[in-house]
Amino acid sequence: MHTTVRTTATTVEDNTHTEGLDTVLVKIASRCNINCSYCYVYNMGDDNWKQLQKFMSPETISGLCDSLKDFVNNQKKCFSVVLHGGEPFLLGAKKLDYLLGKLREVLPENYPISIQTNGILITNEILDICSKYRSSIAVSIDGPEHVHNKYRVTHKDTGTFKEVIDGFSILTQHPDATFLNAGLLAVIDPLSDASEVYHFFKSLNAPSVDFLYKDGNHSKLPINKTSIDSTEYGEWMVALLETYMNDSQPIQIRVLDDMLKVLLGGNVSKEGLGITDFAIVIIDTDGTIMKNDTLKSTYNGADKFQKSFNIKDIKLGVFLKTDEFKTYQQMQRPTSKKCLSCPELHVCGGGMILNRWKDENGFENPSVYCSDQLYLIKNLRKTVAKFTTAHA
Amino acid sequence: MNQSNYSDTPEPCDVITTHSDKIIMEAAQMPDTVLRRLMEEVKNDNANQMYAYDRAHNRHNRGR
Repeated sequence: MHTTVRTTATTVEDNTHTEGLDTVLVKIASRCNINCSYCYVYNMGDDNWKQLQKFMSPETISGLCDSLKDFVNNQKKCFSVVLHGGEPFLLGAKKLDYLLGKLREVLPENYPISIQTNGILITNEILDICSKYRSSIAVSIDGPEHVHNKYRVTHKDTGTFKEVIDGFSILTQHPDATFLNAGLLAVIDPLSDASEVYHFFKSLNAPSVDFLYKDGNHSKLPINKTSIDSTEYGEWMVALLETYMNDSQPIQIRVLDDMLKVLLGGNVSKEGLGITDFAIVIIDTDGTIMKNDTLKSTYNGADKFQKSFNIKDIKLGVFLKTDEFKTYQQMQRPTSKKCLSCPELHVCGGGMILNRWKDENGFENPSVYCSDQLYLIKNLRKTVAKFTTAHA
Repeated sequence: MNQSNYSDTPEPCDVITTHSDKIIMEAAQMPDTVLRRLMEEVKNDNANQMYAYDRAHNRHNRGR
């Protein structure tokens, strides 16, 4: 295979894979059994969850499945369904079995169903149900106990590490663990030791780990980022990169893989990076179709469409053709002068929309993590160049 | 409106060649484990549109 390695981009072109729906993310539970202090759903100013019923009703599930069935018949490309919350496993075994059964009736097995959970409520009964309906599980863990317990706490402000590891251990010991244990998701604490965090995840035999920057914007700086120009998160990521590249038997780190793949001429697999128009639809617990839920971290109600749509009343295919969806989808593309003239835009993509917010002028700004990303990309380029120039 | 460096014409990513110093190499020659795997993934991603459903929401990691 020949690979073209990008070193200095002068223009950016759209990638492939831009047609059609990518992911339907379904908020099947509007409450959570824990209370992470950085949570964008409950602790950054949005209060829509208070208006919602705790769990998705059978009527809403029926409307969702009717719409998914229609869409499977009308889009050639597969799409995935992600069950999210709140905490999805608050449903309990009976409701989960009903929901997954209904979803699998309309989704062929090559359409992934996966569940993002804090892991605490994992039981063998839950795993058997997930296995039966070929639904994989991703667990959120931030790192070793002293890192994880700083922010991922109960409603009584006590750490959740031991409960999460107990649940994760049940997952890894299940007979179908190879399928069920899909990946881990961690939020970065820039004060932690990146190498220690990496080796912790490696000790868990995680198939893949993804790392997230903490939510924040120009008017509400992320935790432990001291200024717009500071690079705490970028420096942490570079330390992670060095550990990753020096490991002879590395685990997979999704965010670094995505950025490296862009430099190697490939595509990203996750929103918030690269130049792609992701088509991700969020279905709230009452069936309301929402914008990306992470926008909740900017201002109260930021993830609501001006006109209200409900999955019980409109087919997904029709919704994707509305001006409201098209306008929202275009928000992924940054509009600030700095981004539009930046030679690294094809790698960072302007970051997540939520990170561009500023109370004075909305989303027309670079990411609050612009300095961090430029620092990281500079080091990613050094890494790629080190190996390619030496061995080409 | 600001001049954009986007194009509305989708192209396979491996034909983007607007670089000042392009380097071409074989994946098999890559000594680094991570980069070798990623180079193979790029090849497979471009060849197989079925992988398109790996395009995921930011707050989820279904893995690879």
